[in-house]
Amino acid sequence: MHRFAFVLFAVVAPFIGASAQEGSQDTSQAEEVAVEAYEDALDAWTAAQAEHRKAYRSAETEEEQERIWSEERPDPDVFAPAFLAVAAAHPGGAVALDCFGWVVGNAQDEKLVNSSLKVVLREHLQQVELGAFVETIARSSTLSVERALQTIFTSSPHREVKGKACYHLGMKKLSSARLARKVAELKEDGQDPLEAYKGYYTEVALNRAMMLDPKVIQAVGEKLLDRVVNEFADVKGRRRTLGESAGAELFEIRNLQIGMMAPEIEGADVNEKPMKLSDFRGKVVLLDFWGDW
Amino acid sequence: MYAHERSLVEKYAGKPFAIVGINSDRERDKLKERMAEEGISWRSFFDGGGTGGPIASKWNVSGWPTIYVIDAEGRLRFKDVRGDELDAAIEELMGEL
Repeated sequence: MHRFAFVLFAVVAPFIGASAQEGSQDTSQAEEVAVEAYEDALDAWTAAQAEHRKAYRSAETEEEQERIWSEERPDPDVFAPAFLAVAAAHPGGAVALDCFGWVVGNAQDEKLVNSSLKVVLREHLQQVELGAFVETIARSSTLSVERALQTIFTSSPHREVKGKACYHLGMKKLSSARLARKVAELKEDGQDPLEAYKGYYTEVALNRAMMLDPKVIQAVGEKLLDRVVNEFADVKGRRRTLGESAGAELFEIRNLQIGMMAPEIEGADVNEKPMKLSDFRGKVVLLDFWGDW
Repeated sequence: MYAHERSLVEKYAGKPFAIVGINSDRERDKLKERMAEEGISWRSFFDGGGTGGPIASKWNVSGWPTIYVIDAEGRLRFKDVRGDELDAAIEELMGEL
């Protein structure tokens, strides 16, 4: 995004007054330096990942491959300081936000994540660029990210940013509810969730899931997605509008649960002959969403 | 998956069982060729020529394959079962008939 903004500026700059042009050249030069520094940090990370994949592919035994996969994987916490240094050198702008986004989305060390979120909420809360930041951090499932999404949803002045925060916060609540249900089921079966999910979820996440009432969290999540459908439907997300994404999630929750009647499907087959799912009533149906790839 | 599905079609030939596909491939003609090559005899909805098709979007499908097993009354009974579990699921529902 910032790169596009820079290019656009470079095109527009020649048409504005001489003194203004001088000032903007300074700005765009500073912006260019910042972008380059960010891209250097990103390149180092991408190269380390590529190297790791290469080592993984060229391993000669399965054990070796497994070892490389788990032990030699690049540690994002080692790369985080480079991003934080760029953010510190170019504070307040789009590049700093990209840097913090990388750290929150990738770093394992909670201190790094929390301090980055703190700066963003202090210095970037009013910015429209926070929308992309929301999408980046939504990958991370820590409680501090959930809290940041809540703050952004409540306080951002931009409808687009609010909508994204609302959608991702809702999705987080739903996945918390899912985990809380699974944990409750395990406990009912007399199993220890901490033992059963070791390695899949952190102890913090599991302990939290055990304290949550799945029904309450589920309702909170659905309410947030309902708000997305009612108030932010047209806001564009990564692949489709937020309304489409939230609507499909709610449709699955409300119409596609085990035990419910399958919703009708009407369309045409590969030979353009009309067909309906209900044509197969009376038969056991294996419904297979597939692609030949 | 194709081999497993062909074996199911064979196993339940003449019985009230059907595979219904919802296909998200891009090109219809290429898909028809591939279906002939793979011996895919069961019908599939052609879902708009991509993964963002109307059926997959409505059903909130984001990974392929996604599988539901539906009983003879039209009720969703299993989701994303694979291998032996899929066989057992179908067998259970056939047993209810």
